[in-house]
Amino acid sequence: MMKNYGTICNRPVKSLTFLTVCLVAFSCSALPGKEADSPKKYTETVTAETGEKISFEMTPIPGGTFLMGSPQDEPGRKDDEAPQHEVRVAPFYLCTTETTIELFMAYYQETVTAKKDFIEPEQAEKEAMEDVDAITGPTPVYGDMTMGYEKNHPAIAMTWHNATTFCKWLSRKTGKKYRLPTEAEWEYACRAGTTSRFGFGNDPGQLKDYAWYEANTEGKNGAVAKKKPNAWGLYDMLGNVREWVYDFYSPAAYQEIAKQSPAVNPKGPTAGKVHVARGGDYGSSVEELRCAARAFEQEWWRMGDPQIPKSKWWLPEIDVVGFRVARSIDPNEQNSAK
Amino acid sequence: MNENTNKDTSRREFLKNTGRVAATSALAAGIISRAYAASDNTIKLALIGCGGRGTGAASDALSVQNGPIKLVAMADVFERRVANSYKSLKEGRDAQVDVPDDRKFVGFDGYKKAMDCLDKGDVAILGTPPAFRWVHFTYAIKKSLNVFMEKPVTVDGPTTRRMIELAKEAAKQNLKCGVGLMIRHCRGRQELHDRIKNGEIGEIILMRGYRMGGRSATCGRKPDNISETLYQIQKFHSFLWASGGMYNDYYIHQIDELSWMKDAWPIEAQALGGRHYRGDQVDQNLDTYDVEYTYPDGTKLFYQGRNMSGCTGGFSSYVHGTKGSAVVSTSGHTPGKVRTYKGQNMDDANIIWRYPQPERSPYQLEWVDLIEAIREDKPYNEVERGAITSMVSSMGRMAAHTGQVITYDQMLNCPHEFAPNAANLTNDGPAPVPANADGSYPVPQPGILKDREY
Repeated sequence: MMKNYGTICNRPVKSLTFLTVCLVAFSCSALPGKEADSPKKYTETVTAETGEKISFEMTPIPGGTFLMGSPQDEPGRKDDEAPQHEVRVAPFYLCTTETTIELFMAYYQETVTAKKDFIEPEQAEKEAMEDVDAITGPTPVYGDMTMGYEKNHPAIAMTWHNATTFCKWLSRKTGKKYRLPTEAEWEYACRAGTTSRFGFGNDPGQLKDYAWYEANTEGKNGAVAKKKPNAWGLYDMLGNVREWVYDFYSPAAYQEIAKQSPAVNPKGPTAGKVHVARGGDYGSSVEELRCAARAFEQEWWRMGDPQIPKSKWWLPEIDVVGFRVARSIDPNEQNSAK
Repeated sequence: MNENTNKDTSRREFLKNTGRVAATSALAAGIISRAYAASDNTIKLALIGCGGRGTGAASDALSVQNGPIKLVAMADVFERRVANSYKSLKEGRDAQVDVPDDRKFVGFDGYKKAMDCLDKGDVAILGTPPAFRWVHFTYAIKKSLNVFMEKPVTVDGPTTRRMIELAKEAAKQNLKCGVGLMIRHCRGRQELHDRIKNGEIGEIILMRGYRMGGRSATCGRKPDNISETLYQIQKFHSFLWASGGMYNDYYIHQIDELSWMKDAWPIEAQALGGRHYRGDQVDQNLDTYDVEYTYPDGTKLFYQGRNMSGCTGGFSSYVHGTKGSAVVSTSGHTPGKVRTYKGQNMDDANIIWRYPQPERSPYQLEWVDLIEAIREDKPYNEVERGAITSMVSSMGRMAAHTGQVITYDQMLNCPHEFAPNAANLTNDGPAPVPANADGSYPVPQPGILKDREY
């Protein structure tokens, strides 16, 4: 119902825009007192180079404390989900859907640097350094980025680096700072205030209503937002494509973070080799679809890249990996509503 | 160029059987000898051409698990390529990379020096642009080395004829020679091939392939800080003499995999192509290629290649039979996700069979198969087949570039050799294709140039 609020928010003239949005939000909100200050769901609209307008929904996730990881008796649990530990998460926005091919294609076409594959790496780096404001976009994709999927399917086959570069591009484009969610934010949002195995409950029989996974797909992912959303209005958190999150993966990450209680807005290990990608994909089993299930970049995701060094940008033909965007709540934004 | 269009039976039989010929020629020659010589069982590798793919191939080779294997020498015309490649390989597999500075060679004669570090039965990895393949292969045969060579292996008629002769010589010596058409080693495609042979989709009557993506395989004018010859090698996708162009480099896999499924080679090609958006780019490629290949029984293969940003993409291939159809490549080369269907509508309701996921990497498997053949002394020579596939690719390319129907025999016997001096290039000597006064290069002129591509 708040769908059209954010459509004007695609200019970097932040304060004025936010003021407008929030005034509108305030004036038509029936909620009293404090509630009126809280961030509202909004629609972000990006205008591609072609003039085409592409929209997506950002929904506010309330701050709170939750138990991250899985209980010892949860069927299918793995060691890296232990120990369960308290985590406090500040409020943030999360996109209701996985980033679509349509939007990712707009980014790709605006930032692709065709010549980079054909110049020496040092030269490419030097050029990037000289132009600090430029977003060094991906090299040309080897093959077909859509892999034959329609534009309302999740964007796929990008490396973590490529996904984070997309967020930089989106931030510049909209004047709002978009980023990947942290692993803690992701699990918190997936649980949507529950302590159940799948967020909607514990019955794997219901998974088919909420997720594209091995039981209801035939070698293909699905268009986004065709299944039921979770209690916080988030689609496809489970299944369809794995979602890159901010954190490096470490099997011992929880043992480390559990020393703080609660951990406040944890961001994972400070260093690592591979990143976490959550939620399972269209080929996943029930076990991989649990809210607590962790997964990370696999070597075979680079199987289609016969070169060394491997591409910094692409996991060729890997249609099981995508991402969704998050955004911290800007304190100024809340202030302006008061 | 309309001579010799009759399609004689022996030619057809020859074409039909080439796959088997390649595999059995060593046996037929009756030569069984030890395939490798090192007393401690270690296979030594030399990497010639240290770009991304050569380095990837070396890494795949080093990861084969059936016995000791190590890299001992490297060569490239660019010093930086050797250094970067060495660094990447060393990081991954330190103990298997034994390449001190005096076994790193830079320059056009580096290949000889690198192969001189090997013993009979070791493996030379030929990872340079294909223009140099016959030059390097000649020397490898002279040294009795086993070989892995990247695709394509030829770029024109004369080099194809030469490679076929060299392939026979290598087979006589029982050298094991792999060609980087890795899809032949994909287990899913192998099973699909068996299923098609067993009649699961009837007789193949139509095939389709697509390779459509954004602009690529292009380059700007040569900067001042590099010689003409080195620039053309660095931008090899842009120059027909070096790579066979985008057509050969990009399309060869699907043309090969589809011909394999059909168990035949096409006998002629008719093709369209255009060059619309090249702008400041000076490479010799076209923006679009649309090719109709004809097989001996009249079956057609339609291939659509496009490198234009903003257009519909595609990277897949299909076969259609009298009873059903099959996906040979779903998107890209791997995973293949091959499957068969009843009828011509490839929807889930009509599925007959699909290869289970996940698949093993064919880039890995092509090395597993080659090293196994070396250690167990099995016949293994993919070069003749690789040369014919390369030539069949060139046939479609030449059809597009000249605007003429090009037959198999015309292509094989075409006298235009793009780089006759490939064995004698130097950093500062004349380049195989001289630049025009404005820094551009000659491009195809269909209908005007009819018997050569530029």
